[in-house]
Amino acid sequence: MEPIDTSKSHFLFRFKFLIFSLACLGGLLFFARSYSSKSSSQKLLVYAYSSFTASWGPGPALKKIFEEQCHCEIELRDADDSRLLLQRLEMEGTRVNADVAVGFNQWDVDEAVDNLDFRTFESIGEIPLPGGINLKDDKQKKLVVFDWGILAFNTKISRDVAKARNFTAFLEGLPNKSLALQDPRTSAPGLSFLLWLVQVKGEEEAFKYLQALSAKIFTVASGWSSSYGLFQKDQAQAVFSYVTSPLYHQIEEKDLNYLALPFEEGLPLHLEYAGVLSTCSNCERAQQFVRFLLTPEAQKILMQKNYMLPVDMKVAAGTPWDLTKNFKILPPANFTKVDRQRILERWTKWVRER
Amino acid sequence: MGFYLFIFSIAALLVSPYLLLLSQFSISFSLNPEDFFWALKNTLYQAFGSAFASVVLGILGGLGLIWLSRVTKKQTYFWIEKFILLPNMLPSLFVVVSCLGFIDPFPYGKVGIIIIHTIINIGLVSVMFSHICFQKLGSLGSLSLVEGASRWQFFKVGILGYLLPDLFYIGLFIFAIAMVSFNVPLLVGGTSGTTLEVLIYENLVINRNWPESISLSLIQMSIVGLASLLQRPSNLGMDSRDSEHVLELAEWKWGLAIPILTVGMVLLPPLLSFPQGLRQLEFLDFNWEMLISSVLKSLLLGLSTGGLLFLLGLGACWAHELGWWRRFMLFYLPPGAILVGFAFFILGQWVAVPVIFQIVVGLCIVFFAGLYRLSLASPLASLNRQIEVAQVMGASPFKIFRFVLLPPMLRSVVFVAGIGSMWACGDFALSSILSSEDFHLALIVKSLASSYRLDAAQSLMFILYLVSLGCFAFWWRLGDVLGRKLNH
Repeated sequence: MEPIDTSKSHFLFRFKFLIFSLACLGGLLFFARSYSSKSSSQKLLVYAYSSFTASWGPGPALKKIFEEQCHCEIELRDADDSRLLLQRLEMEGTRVNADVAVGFNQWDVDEAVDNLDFRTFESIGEIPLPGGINLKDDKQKKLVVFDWGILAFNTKISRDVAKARNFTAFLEGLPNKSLALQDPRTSAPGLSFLLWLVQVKGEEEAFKYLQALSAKIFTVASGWSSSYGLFQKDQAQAVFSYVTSPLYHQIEEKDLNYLALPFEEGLPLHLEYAGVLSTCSNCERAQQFVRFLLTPEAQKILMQKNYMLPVDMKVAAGTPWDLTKNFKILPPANFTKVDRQRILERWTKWVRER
Repeated sequence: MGFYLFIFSIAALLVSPYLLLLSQFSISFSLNPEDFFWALKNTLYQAFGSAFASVVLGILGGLGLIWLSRVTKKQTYFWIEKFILLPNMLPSLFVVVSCLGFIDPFPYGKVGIIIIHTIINIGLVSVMFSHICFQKLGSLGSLSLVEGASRWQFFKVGILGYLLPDLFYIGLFIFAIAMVSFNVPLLVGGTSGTTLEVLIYENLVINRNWPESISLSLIQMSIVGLASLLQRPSNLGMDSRDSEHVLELAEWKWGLAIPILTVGMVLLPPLLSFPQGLRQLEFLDFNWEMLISSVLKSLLLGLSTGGLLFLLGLGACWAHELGWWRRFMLFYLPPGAILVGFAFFILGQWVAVPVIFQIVVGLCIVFFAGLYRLSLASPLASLNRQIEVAQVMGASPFKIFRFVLLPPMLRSVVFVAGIGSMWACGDFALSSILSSEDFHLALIVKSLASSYRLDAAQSLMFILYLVSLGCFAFWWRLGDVLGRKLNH
């Protein structure tokens, strides 16, 4: 048997290993370079949540129109959701120089104004919503509501609970283990649900109602998409969602079986804000873009692709989105951060003792 | 000197998320003890139950795979083995939706969490268990057959007796996965849904209390680390890779039904809604160019992550002779994907590291410690005696690595790379924090699912699954080629 020349094979092995490692690293760097080369400081940098920037969301359509109007370029950056948008902008600070932030919800808006520096708008006046609700306040000079929604329990018309028009009837009509909620600690609609209960019933009564509802709850999901997915797949009979959710099924799936319940006690609002950051490098265009979001053309796209309601209600007239008259809307709830914290702690305690 | 520097660099890379976070935030613990202990109790209960059930059912599935390896061609076996890994890489929502359709009424609470975690992990445990049997019980199987041992004797003495430490490490891997599981406890946990991972998320994203999140993550690591001290990896010798496996005594063909039925249960509902999903995509006027680009990027993400894991795996083999390294790898648990994501986000503020590079490195950090316990710790321990002999004879660390460790360990290292690249293709937790666009398939799936289009998301999952399989097959094939070269 021929002896193995270990020094030669040793050298060859090391050489091949080195080549392989360099090839891997080179490939990755090439990929990274081609990926990062998309960024350019000259573009209008718009940060928004995922369903806004997705190819089927309103972002790309709005981008196309605005780019034609301003002869400029927009880069849409996906920041996942309102909370992560806030975290991201705060951490990136002046390094990235984001121009526009789109998609803070009303529960994050105070924190956004406190922790981030926004340019002030002078000429966007108050925004009247149906039901005599006027959204003008100090925050609005920095952040503008560009679309909104109404939250409600959704169900299918064939279910018994579809007849419920108030909290009591809803509780009675709902079978055991059939309601999908979102955890208010991890989800904005979940927080809206909990604070809606407190707003309508007062804190003590709200938790008594929750206790009564306990047996009917099928799951408390971490986010809206999980709970709505379970509802779509008929695992839950009702879910807390938007009054515009049935429109999605009606328009895209031609399914008329979905229904949002118009509670007599009134329904909570969901507001979405946009603003121009002081770190902007294209500030004029950024202001123009935010104003553009409020034009009828942009409002129509937001309404149709985001399945939310336009702040310019004239845009909704004569369309399936013209549904606010069917619902009693509650004015935005005023809960301080301390109130919210206390209510959430109570929720955690309630979950533990359930 | 270079050797120590290299190994130290790997260890530093793995702990870098903690270092990055601790450089910005201190550790503090101000949680209500009642809340903390309640979440800890929920976490430990569901993690232990999930690990135990997955290992028990996974053993049965593994016995079925051993039978299958004898009666089918190598190629068929390869694809069936990868097929049963499917539930392990689907988003948890899809698994939950499918299971709720089959198990009616579904037992919500701790039992529900354990059921879902078990369904997700049975396939992986089956595959791992069968690999270990092939590696370690081949000659024992032949001997037992010749000596006339019964199946039960072989199972009791051979499998449960010799492989107990290996089973412990598989269990520990599932325990660690279940501990950091976020969606499943909330979806089906009912009152048991609040776990340490939920507290971490709540503190990090809602309260933005970083010190508390880091402390909770360190507590999680300590639990897994202390558990790993309970059992040393087995040092049962490994058979050579090409040896003929005579494991007829270990076969149980009906065992294969467990992982196959699990996959069927998970796969059937999305298959039924596939046409509806395609209609949704059509309605969206889905950008097919974007789809092709995202498929390519998913492939690149998977292969790059696999490549780095392959190098880390080789590094871990090279470093195996160092006692501190072995202890470190058994103790260490990376923070969850969300914390790693934010740690790299902080890094991105200091140095211009391309996002894709951050995601690849971040995923390797999240996956590597678990995969080491699952696939490398025990086979490496089996080679300790041979390493000692080589050291006594004066072999350098590199020669020990090249001639003693690499030939038998190559298959395990490519397994680590293959599984890691499959998981990387399906990642959206870390990617959505670091990336500013839906550049790969898993991110598109997530966006579709969060905008009513669940069926469309499920349809794309099939493409994602094929991409993941492609990544695994690439690493497996590379393992074959490298193995042949090493043996010549």
